[in-house]
Amino acid sequence: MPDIRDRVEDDRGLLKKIQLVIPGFRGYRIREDLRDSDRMLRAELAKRLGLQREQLQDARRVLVRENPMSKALEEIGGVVNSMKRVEGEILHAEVGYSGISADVKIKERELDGLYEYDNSMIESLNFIDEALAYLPEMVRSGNDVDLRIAVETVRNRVDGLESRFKRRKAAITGTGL
Amino acid sequence: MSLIGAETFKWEDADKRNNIMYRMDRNIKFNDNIVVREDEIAVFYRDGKALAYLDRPDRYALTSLNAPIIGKVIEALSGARQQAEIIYLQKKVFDGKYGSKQPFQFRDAEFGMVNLRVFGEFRYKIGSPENFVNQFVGTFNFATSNEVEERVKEQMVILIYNAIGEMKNKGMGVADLASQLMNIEQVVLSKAKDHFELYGVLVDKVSGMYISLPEEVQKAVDTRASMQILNTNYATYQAGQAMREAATNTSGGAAGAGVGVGAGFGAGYMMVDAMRQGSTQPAAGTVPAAPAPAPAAPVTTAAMVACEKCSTPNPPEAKFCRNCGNKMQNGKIKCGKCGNEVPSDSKFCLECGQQLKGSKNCAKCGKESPMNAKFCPECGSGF
Repeated sequence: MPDIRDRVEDDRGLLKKIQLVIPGFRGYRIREDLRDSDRMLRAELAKRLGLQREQLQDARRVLVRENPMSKALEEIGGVVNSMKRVEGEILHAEVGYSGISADVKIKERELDGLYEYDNSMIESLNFIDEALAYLPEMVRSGNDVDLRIAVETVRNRVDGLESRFKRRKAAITGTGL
Repeated sequence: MSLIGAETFKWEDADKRNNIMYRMDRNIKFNDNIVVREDEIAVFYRDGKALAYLDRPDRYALTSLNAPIIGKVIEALSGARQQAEIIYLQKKVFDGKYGSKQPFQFRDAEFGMVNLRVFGEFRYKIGSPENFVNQFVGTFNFATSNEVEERVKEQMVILIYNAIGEMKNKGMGVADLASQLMNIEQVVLSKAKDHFELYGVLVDKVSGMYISLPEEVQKAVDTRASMQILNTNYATYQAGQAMREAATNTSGGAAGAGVGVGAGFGAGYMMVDAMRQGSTQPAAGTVPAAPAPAPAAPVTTAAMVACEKCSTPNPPEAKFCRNCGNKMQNGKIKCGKCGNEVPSDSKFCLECGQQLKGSKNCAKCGKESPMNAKFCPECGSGF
């Protein structure tokens, strides 16, 4: 994935460039741009998770057609809701801010680190993709037990993404255990 | 207010109560301070972006472009005025109530189709402020816990029904519900995550769950318990119940006529026979019921007459006993003096007044004989 920070920096308009030369505004501008970059990155991550959710919903649609009494339907529904939850958490996560006289300052270095950390979520998303790839075959096979195991695998990987994402702030401020 | 226009704010206790969120009515100025307490989270928005979720109790000095000079200059030059706001959320646990509006059908192995209703309380709080703010505050504009609860409680009922259904498939019956309430709670809590946390609501506990049985099922359960304690079957149990009811029934009628007499000739024996027949059928448990003891008061009508010899009940018109062939008195005895037939429980003859009950002594040998005897059984002298 291309670095969004470079794109945001390259696309600064005149007003923003003026702000860069005004004392006191330079730091503000740089930090705001980093936050915007991170936000755009997270929007892309949430969008990708949304697409994965749609894959799961497609599998659910096929399963409803083949076997509407399958117990895997409830579990698929649960995973869909989990994905919605994680999408929301990623999309609306805080951008990294510390006020005046904060105990732990979040400056450009931390915001850069935050961007890098969020970018690494792509690995977790790829991991979920691998689990989703098995679903269509499982649905077609008609084997409910194997299908439920496959759905459980997707769930575990979504939970893993969520758990990793929640550690982002602690990771960049160095306050995690 | 300070020289630069900054102030310190907090969420007043008077505004809290059952409000789950509070949007501070202020465009945050440079160096505005907010106090976040132990049971609060403050979400700082600036230019529409959630800049920070302040959940650590502290005082925070916030920044924005709304400063005395700079803000005015920027606004004058570009017309842009930065919008910065604070939304407080309560972290505490709220109580909610749920209840099924309609009963749901439960197929039970013992009782067949049973209608169940569920009621109770649950405890919830904000689990994920990111999702909560964007779902309830942004989408629905909810401010109070009641509004959140309304959305959540219907889903809670569905989850409980679902949990009960799953446990029923694993062998739980209606009679086991009370002993499985804690397990049902755990099943519901495990499912609650998938249904509520996408809205940022965390269900903490399901307490005070009550699953009500319909009245007729409850009555059947009580009757069954009584039968098992008495080790009898349904027919015998019902006969005993009917006896008790008839004994207290003073309104008369054919049934009431024989009841309360106590020594009603033959009526009580009919009950014994019914119980003897009932004891041949299997009882409420697996052990056949033992024959029930004869009741103190006869309960049936005087239509059947017991044989004097073997006590078998016979129809009133029977001349000979159907069991032993004994000549039936049909509940009547003959007066020893005039030969008139009178009811068997009469003490004096209706025709001549002769004493029927009691005994008399022979004038010749002094032998005691029944009142209706014509000749002395000892010496043969006529009375």
